[in-house]
Amino acid sequence: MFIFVLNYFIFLQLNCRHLIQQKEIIATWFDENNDYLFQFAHTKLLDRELAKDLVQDTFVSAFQAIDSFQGKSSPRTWLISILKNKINDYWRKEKREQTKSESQFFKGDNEKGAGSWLSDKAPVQSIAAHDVYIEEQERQSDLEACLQGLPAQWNAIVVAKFILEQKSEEICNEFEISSSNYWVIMHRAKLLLRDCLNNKWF
Amino acid sequence: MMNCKEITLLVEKSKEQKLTFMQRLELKLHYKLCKVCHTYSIDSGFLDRILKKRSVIFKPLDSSEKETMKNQIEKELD
Repeated sequence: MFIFVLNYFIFLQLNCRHLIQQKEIIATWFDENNDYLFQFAHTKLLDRELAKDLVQDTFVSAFQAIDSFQGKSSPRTWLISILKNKINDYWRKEKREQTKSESQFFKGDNEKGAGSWLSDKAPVQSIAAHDVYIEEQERQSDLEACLQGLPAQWNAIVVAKFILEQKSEEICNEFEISSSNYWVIMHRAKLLLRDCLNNKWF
Repeated sequence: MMNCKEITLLVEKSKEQKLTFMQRLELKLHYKLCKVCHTYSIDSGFLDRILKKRSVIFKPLDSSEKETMKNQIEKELD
């Protein structure tokens, strides 16, 4: 009986020490990688608070799954893969909730003149030609406001294409979309942005 | 013949892919007949320029933000 209790006690103590060690590892990993992970998340999400939340969740998940980390890759690579999953989960959830992107620009396939512009959406005036009357700062803030109206994932794809200058194949891989889906997104994003700036400027 | 929806999609694709001779011809012809799609192509190019010029403001985490995050994580680990 005594030996049993002693064994149990030792087990508890070891287990406890094990947990403390794991917490220390997570703390070290946090110190070494938080800048890198935060910048990664921020580039994808363009939302400071959201990026902070997901980075935080990453370390909590890493702690829960630490036994599965076998040291085959660096901690940073492992952490980034957890963070990527979190970002993709967020987009998947957001995609279900998005209704913003539903507005139509062209006549439906079953209508007469399928695929022609709806009269109230057709670009009658050019926003490019009107741009000379718009102050630099106003244009920038209007553009940012219009980008906010896009679904979050589209916004990130626009950043990947125009700012990070990623190739379309890279973007498709990273965002887990097909090439035809990529073109549909790009097309709709441009239509929505044009329409949004048009409404602001005319 | 492509409709306006297909033409404007082709406008976007033309920025990354080389179009065939027939596609280019159809695009040119369509522009002649459809001012609206022509305007779209001009505006699409304008959007590309302002999207490239856009500066994304990135501010790294400051030490107090890091501290808060670290504390939050530690709290969740207990």
